Amino acid sequence: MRGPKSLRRQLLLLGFIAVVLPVLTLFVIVAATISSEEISVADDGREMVVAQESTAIPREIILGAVLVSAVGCVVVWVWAGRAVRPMAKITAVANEIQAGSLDRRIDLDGGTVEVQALADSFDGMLHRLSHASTTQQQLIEDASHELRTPLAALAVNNEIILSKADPSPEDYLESAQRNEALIARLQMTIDDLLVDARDRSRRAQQVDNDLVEIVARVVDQHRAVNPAIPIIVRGPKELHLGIDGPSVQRALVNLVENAARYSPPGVPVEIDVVADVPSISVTDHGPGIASDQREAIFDRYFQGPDGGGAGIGLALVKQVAEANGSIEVTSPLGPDRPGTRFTIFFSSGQG
Amino acid sequence: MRVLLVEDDAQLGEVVLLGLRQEHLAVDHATTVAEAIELLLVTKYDIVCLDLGLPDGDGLQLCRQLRTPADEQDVLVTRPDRVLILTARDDVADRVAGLDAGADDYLIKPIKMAELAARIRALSRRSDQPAGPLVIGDLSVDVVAHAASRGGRALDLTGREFAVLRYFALRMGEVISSEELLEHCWDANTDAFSGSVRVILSRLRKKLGDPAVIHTIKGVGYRLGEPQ
Repeated sequence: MRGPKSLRRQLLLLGFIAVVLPVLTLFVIVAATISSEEISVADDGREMVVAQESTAIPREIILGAVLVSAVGCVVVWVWAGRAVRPMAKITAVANEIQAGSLDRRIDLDGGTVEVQALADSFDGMLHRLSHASTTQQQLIEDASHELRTPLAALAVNNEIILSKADPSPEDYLESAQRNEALIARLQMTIDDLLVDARDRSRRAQQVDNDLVEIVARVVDQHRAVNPAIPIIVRGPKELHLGIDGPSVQRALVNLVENAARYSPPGVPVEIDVVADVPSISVTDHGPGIASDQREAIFDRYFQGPDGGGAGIGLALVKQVAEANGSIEVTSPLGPDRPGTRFTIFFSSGQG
Repeated sequence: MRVLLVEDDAQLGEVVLLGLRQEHLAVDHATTVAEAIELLLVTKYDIVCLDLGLPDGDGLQLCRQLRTPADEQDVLVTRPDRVLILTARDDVADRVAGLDAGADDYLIKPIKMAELAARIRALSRRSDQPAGPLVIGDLSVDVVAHAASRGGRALDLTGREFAVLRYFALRMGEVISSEELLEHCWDANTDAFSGSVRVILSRLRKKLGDPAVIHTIKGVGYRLGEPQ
């Protein structure tokens, strides 16, 4: 059994064949020429003397050949070492990364084209991994904040009802209702996180879904939770699209909730489903978004001026929208028309 | 005691507010720096419980403002007696920064109501007051158990009556006007009218019995002290 081949040794062998072997061959040819001359001299009858001289010359040649071989070996070995050195650097960086830091880069400069390409694509991969890891880290931090606050509120709520002197049935009822709202909030955050995690592991599961049916479910859900803000739905009777149903529903819930939060009481939120250019828009007639915040609203952990809502809500909407197509924000709706419209365009054709 | 709770999360704020009201404290709730300043312009609070991460500004900045002398302020806010920082930032450096910004105490989230209530009691206690019940003659006011007794007989007080009695007891010997009572024992949400102070006071006096311990100082206010 042979061990793994060393690139450096292979280069040494190649270098030897390419450089030293021709020189040696030259020596052998020279030696052979001299000995043939010696044979022709021997025909004159003074063969012993010439023969003695002729055997001395090949000895120097052999010595030279050995010297050339040795020097050639060393030169080729050093040269091969230089050629594989970038590989060693890549290996070293890879080993450091095993130790846990994704910030390291090979930053190779001046290597051969092939090795440079390898190092560059390696750096590219590291960059992407590092970005993914940062996002994940951010998600965990956001999630822990998002989960911790309602949990703390639940704990305090529980503590105050338990420490109340003589709680009445009404006190218990109110306490339970507060618990219910907090549990709903926790549930929602966890749902968001699951959609987020799912989307991270595989891009959207895009199958045939009726967008209108999804909208109906979201509207029903909203009516149960927040009847103070009505919803108007416009659009076709059905619209089948190749989309990831649960994710789109989640995103829509977040959009409607967001719209309802900024709507003046009693002013409806409008949902428009469009079949020609497969899209859905959610419009509110609230104060609108300040122009300097239009990009920031999609950042994780961004909270609106009222401070309410989960910071991952719109970040998730954007993620789902981009997995299924694209998203557009219009705010204000027009001159002297305050309000905000979020439109998700679906890139997949009708199912 | 009048407390301002500045907490950006509406739901967490609501339950902490309820917990503090259960301690018979008059509490107002602000969710932003702007709301807090609006309330601080009109009311002199005994204690401000301040969250640091607020949507429209830094709580630490507000804390510094609350500790700035009136003649150096841009916006003239009343200076509360005490500031308690309530936050999830738990580095030593954060705590030091908070206390150096003028806070009297620092409580790290998640909070326990029992601890918050105890810290508020500690902050409202004057250095010359005992840790146990406050005693005036044969009257004893227990600020921990929210109970009062006179001559060994327990008094059956409502939350508001207890809040008023506690305010008197914590400022034993001081003359307190009815406006001051209204400001410190009623919060912004309750339907307070100037008459309600007199109504509560007369009920409290009746329950405290004779000889009277709450004395009327004509034209100025009221004072809690030994029977005369």
